[in-house]
Amino acid sequence: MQTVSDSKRRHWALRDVLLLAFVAVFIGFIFWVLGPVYNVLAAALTPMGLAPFANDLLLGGWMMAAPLASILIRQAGAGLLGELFAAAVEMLLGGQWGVATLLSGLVQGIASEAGFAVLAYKDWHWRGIFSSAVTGAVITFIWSLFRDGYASYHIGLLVALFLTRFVSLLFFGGVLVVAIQKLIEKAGVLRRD
Amino acid sequence: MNPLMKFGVIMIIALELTFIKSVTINLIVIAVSAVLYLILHLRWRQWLWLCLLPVLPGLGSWFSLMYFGTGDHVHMAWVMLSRVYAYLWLGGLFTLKLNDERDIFLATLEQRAHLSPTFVYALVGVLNFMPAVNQQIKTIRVAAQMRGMTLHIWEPQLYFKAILSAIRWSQSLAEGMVSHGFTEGAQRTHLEAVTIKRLDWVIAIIALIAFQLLLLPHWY
Amino acid sequence: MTELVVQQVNFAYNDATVLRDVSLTMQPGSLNLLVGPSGSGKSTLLKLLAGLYPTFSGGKLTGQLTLDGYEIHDIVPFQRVAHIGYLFQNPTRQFVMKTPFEELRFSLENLQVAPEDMTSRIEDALTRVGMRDFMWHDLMTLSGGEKQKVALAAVLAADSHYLLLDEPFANVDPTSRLQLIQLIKAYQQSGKTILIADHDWSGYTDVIDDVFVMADGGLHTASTAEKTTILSQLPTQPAVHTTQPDAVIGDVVLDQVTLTNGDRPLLSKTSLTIPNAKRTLITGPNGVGKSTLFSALVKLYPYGGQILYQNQSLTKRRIAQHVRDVALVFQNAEQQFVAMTMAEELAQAQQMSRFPELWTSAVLDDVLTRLNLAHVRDHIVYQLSGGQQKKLQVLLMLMTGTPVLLFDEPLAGLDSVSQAHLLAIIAEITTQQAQTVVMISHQLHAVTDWFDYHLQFEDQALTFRGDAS
Repeated sequence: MQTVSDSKRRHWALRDVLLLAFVAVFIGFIFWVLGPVYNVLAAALTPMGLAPFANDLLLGGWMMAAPLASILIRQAGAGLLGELFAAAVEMLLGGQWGVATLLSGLVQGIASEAGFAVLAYKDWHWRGIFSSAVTGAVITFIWSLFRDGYASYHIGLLVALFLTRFVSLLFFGGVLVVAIQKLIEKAGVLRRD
Repeated sequence: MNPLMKFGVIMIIALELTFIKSVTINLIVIAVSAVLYLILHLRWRQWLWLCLLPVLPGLGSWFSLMYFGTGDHVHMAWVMLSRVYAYLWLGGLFTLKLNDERDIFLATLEQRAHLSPTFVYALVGVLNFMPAVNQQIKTIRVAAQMRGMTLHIWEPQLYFKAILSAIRWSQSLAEGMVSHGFTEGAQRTHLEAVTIKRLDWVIAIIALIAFQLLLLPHWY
Repeated sequence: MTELVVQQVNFAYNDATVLRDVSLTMQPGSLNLLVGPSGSGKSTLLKLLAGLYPTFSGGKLTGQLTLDGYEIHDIVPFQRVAHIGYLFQNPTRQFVMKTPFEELRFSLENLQVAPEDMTSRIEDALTRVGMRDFMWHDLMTLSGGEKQKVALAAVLAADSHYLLLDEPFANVDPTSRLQLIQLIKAYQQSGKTILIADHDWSGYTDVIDDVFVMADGGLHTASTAEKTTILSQLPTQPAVHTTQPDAVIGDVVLDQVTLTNGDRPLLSKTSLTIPNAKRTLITGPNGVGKSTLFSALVKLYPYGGQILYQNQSLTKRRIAQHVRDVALVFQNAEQQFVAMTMAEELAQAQQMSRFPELWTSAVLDDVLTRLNLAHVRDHIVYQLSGGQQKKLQVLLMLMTGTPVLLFDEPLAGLDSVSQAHLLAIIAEITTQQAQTVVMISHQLHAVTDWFDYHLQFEDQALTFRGDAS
């Protein structure tokens, strides 16, 4: 008979991949439930030309799957994969951006992942988390310059939008993720061998 | 056409659209999609969905660019409005057919794109669990409400509970998969071997070349 | 024939010994029963035999646990399941695919069965368990019994020598249970070796070869006399003493309510009133829809007709407000915790209570002592044992003090002493707080004289049972 120890230890264990996928789906759904709130907010802001603020205000939430996947799986690529799973869920649920959701998911995943990468994937606690929130805000903003036509905005509006996005990421992707990690570690519900 | 091939073509075009500031190109993409939809025989609800869904994000960008744009911002406002439609109509070619084509899409990922079965079946699993996840999130919130606590979107406890469910569910699904013989990194046989027709490649290449030609003259 | 060896197996998890010095020998082609109280280690042993533990549990395993000389958990799964089949207690979250056909295809593809043999093997296995007609149904909408048949078909298709079953009938209705037992017997007669952990062995007492008794992590084979005694103790359902309600006054009213699961009708048009400030028991076969009814009562499941609370339709009541009046003690205790340590949970419940004057520290200390929870007050709730979690959850929900409190199997998995204490405390407190209690329970021996009324859920109908009052 063939044994498991004969083959090399797998980098992406089944249980980890499933956990990552489920976390992404749960987070995707939590923010899907928030969809109507976003729509109302965006609709209210639209006539004033301020609709992009609704997007930037909630972006941190939509991007939460990435840092959560990173801190749970603690592996390079986890954040990117988590965000891709979350984007796939959003697309399948009928998100307003269609396939562009997946492209954004890819960019958002890379953006969040970069924060852990610059710390050489050694810090999975608050330093890594906040670093990923910062890279997340900067890189996705560059993407928005192209995809959302941000490049054509007044510099004043651009600065305001960036600050909004930065705060959103600091809160959802930073403060909240650190708090969630504290709860998980205190509860001792995650086995890591 | 094989759904993975179709997906690839759509993603490449969608990526290019991100960097093209052309109302004409966007409209052509929408028009071509519309023709394909006519061939596909959509239900009226799906047409409605295609027409209404992009209104909000489209107008959101349009108004902002009209009010707060600089340079060629009026042009850009129309680009953004048409782009949102182009994304959704283009993507709909894939997503609206996905219910029928899901299995072959996943099988192609496994057999032809040689994505590790661990990822393919994790995706299969969570897709099948999506209704259960939706219900579970409701249950989490109601269970807490019974204790007099409302779990708001900004409260870590909500996410902690969701992750706790994810931990438990991924564990039991992993056990279930392994008890049905799933072995990481092992060979698998396939009841239906997926082949990609040569015609699919030809169509994909023609579609991509045609799109590039469209960009060439800069006549927009 | 492959040889399964279990010699002096010890298993510890989180510094707690779960199995000590367990040895087990099963005769080839035999059908064996594994008995013991819940929490004694039966599930752990079965999962170790199936090779799922310690891979999925962690923990320390010593002793000999081998198949043809190979460590079981070390054998690659696609070869292992060709020798050892395993049926989970709850099949709900174990299927990865959408339909029975696809799940079996997934399994046979894993086992590297040749594509040309696959369809016939799948159809054959599903036919044998009587699920051929359900081949393309959505697994999520199947009943517990049907899911278990599909899980059994996967084992048949793999043709495993050993079949391990962990309380396979826990979520299965009586008819399906008898059908499953026939299938398992037939499988044994084709020369397979079977081990079943179960509480209720009625229907297959005659074919049991050996009985293994598990207690506190230790295992022994029952002697002939012991076996006879055990098998004669069929868990009889004692009569519950209740009366028929007359002229019922109640805040919760069902008006022509219907329930369905997918296409399957669970409850046909039913109108009734739940008696206020009384204790009502709901019994009925597994899978009949009891938990679904509770979900509907707290707005977590769609229903037909009208459910009213104090003459107001549930559809008009906001869920946050409704569940402060009608609350459910979920089967899964973990779901209902909102803090981290037991002390924090209690403080939160005290603060949220409708009867804060009742829940003084002295009362709380007394209740905690009676529930044997006082010593774990500072523990993290997620690390308590299943029984401790359940007792704490019930207490927290009692402290909240909603006018109507629904209990879904609150006694399952508790030893008889804990059951008695918990029931006494529920009775005392709900009487003081004038609460309406509705409980789903299978532990009838614990509650023969505890309830006022008894609702039987059967054949898509809910009827009051009991003597005339």
